[in-house]
Amino acid sequence: MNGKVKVVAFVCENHAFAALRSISEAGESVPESIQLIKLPCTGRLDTAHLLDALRLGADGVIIVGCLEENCYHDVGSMLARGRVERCKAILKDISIEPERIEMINSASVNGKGLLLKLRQFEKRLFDLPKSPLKGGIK
Amino acid sequence: MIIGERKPVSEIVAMLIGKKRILISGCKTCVAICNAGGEKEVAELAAALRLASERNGYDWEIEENVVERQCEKEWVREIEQKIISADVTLSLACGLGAQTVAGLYPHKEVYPGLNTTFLGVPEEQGVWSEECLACGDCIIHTTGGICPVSRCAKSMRNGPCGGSSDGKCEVNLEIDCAWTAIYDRLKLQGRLDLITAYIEPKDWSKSHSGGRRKIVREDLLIPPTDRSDLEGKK
Repeated sequence: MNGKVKVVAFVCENHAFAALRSISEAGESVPESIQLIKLPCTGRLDTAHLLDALRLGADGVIIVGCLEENCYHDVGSMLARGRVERCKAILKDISIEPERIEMINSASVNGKGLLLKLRQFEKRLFDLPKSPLKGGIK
Repeated sequence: MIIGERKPVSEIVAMLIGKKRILISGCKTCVAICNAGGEKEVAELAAALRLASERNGYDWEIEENVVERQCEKEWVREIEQKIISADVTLSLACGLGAQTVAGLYPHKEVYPGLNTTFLGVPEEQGVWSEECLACGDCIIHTTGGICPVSRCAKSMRNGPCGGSSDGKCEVNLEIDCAWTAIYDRLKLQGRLDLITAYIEPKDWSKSHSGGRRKIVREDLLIPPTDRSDLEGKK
């Protein structure tokens, strides 16, 4: 894919968001392609949110949750993982690349690792064929 | 409750090709509790179908709706205009809900968005299991409150059979043997005499095997009102 990509990132406001904040505190920045949407917990996400984000113009959707064993709401990250897997199955079933949706988990102190994963996801989207959806940037 | 499972989206897409206005209608009762056809599942399917429509240029107009109980005419009539204005109603209710819509509006097409799977109970979050076959002749007072008709693969009345091993069923080792469970339950209750008591062969005519069943309660029927005296015709 040429040009820019648009990524929507649904981010838990607890440990995961602290990790994002630590990226800028370390003098680095989150890739410009990523639009952040802060949530009280990734467990609040519904599958429709993820699918709608793709239809409305995102080339990829990433969910940034806390570590499953350290979720502020106990099971939020785990529930989000299940919904991400469900969305991937739906995308595959309708011939859209499931790689366009991903979940990553981060500890609040691991901004560096999180930034690396965000960049890897952005690169993955560049490597995918042009999105078949009108909203996607090409 | 009635347990259902959404059909694969690709199967639903194949049903809808050639249609334009699609009403997805869920139900807030059983299928909402088993996470197959409630508000969230309607939203999910709508999102998936909109994606498929955009992906393949189907140009679908999709409307979402969830009725209180799709198996009851009164609730379905509340969305009459939506059903009439759609080319097709995609029901995310059980087969009863879908057929209620189809029966009320016989000139309109109604498609099933989910497969009605069984009568069951939630075991834990995300797990449901079959517990009743609606056979029309319940005997669980003799089997420790466990239904051998639905939970035994052979629906045996006098079990277990020779295929029971280590508490598992020969049909599938993932399935617990119903009669082992019955034995354990009766033992717990001090009623093991019941395990050796002979149970008569089942009268399957009371089940679906006897044809479509119908219950009529005369005491609940409302007779047609004679309005002629009110209208001064007498």
